[in-house]
Amino acid sequence: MLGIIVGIITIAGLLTLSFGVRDSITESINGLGANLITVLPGNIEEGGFGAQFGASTLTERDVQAVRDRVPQVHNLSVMMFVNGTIAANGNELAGGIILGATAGVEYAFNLSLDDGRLIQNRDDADRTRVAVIGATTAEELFGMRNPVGQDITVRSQPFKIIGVLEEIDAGASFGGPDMNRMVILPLATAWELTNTHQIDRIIMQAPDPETIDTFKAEVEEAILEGHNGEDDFSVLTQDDLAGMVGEILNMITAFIGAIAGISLFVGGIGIMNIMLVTVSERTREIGIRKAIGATRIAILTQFLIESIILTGIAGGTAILFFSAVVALVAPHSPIPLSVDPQVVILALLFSGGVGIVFGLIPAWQASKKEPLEALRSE
Amino acid sequence: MIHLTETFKQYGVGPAAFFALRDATLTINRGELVSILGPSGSGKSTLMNLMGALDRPTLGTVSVDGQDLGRMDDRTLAAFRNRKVGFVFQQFNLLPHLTALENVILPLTYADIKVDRKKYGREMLEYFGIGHRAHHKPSQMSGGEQQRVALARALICDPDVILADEPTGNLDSVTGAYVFDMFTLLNRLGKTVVIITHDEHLAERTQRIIRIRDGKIIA
Repeated sequence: MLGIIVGIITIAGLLTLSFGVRDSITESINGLGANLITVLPGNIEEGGFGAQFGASTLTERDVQAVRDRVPQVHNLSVMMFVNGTIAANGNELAGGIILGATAGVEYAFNLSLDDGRLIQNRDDADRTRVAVIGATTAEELFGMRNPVGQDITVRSQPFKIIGVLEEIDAGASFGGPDMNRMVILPLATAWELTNTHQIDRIIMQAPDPETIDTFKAEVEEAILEGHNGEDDFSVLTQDDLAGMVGEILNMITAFIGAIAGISLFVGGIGIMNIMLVTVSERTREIGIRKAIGATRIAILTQFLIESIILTGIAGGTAILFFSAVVALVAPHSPIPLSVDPQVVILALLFSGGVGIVFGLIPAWQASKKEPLEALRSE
Repeated sequence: MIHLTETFKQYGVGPAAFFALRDATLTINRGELVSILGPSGSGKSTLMNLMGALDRPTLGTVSVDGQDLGRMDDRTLAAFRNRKVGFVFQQFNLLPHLTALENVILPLTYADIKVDRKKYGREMLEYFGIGHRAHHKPSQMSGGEQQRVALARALICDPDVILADEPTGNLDSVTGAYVFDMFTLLNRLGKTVVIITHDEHLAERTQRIIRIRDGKIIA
């Protein structure tokens, strides 16, 4: 019985968490901006996540190829992640992220300006030492003061802050950094600082959602040409991102689900043993029922139902306990948690199913008892 | 209406095997009030079990109302036990966790008859003078009351045949007399009644006595 309760709680918890994470991530992804096409180095489908570290396969030539082939895309911006420390007034920013980016980065991440201005093309051209900082960066390094016009040190180099971003509702950020802790530099400046021309992202917007897949294909073609047909990069839409997240979630869910399944199985065996004992203790009753006209099926059904009730109670208890836990935890949870009716129904179905499967053998045994012998027992 | 033809019943296997019933041939006509009389272990209960389809013969035929019980499948046998025959046992054999009413109407549930079961059950209990016990469990009733519930249950599907195995064995003489009177009444109403007993006096009050000893019918 306990095994079933534990198993059901695990499954319910798993599903709820998975829904919650999925919702949260979908929210994040959709909050990024509309109709985004993202190009990353490394072929994600062949496990190319590793290519995220080390030299990128994307080049300026790729950027130009895209611009030439699909001039209709909007707000194309190019980015590079930079390693280094961020400091101001002698204080270092913990968990800070440095991003080198061209003008238009605000569209890629749906950024809003709180004060000052954003990176513009002239900054890139002139390789000016300016920076736009995120809301948390501003708060932690400058407190209540307005950071615009202040100095900030990036990789031990002085930069002038030209803009501060509004705070972004982070949620569970996937595939991207915590924007609030960012410092954005002009891309050319970042290249100068690091002495490379590394490109980690090319992000653009398709003109409308209907044709986004066509544009995605065109972008792929454009870059493929320049790479001599070598598919060492990935082009993703938000749907793709969401899909990938979904796949990973599914795998994790399936794995833990399997473990929960073991718990249910063990619980089921327990139920079967309980029912076997019950049947043997009620042999006389079975004999009496058969003597007054019960068919085998009637006896089978009777005990099967008892088994289902047992597991149903276990499942119901699990759901109640689980709902209580969710009610307690949800207000403090970073991801949205709620008791989805689908989960409840699934849990009840599972527990009923266990009842049927593991109650079948005892019920079958009960139905096979000969009335005379049964009457003689005890 | 009940015919046994050269019927044998063997229990056990190999060296432990024995015949509870040997070469039994008898006929009980419709509407008879018959007793089967014999000492303990004579095979009288075996006879009743065969007549009531609680058991199958090893050899020979048992037929009731023209139906050969040996040829029936489980479902038909269950229906037979439900509608054609009503059992009354020495130990009452009521279900302990059900009330008197629930016990009485149980055969109706298995018969899948569409009738107001509770109403019918209550009437049946009233008829036997225990209507006030409808919601009591067997443990809350006396032996006599329990046997009356058992009687009511045996009759609820209006069977043609009543088979009673030592029905007064666990009852005091007054209640026992009452129960026997009920059998007589039911017989007059047209039911075929077969009573198993080892009590000579009881047997003498029936219309016919079938004597049995060591598995053989002797009269």
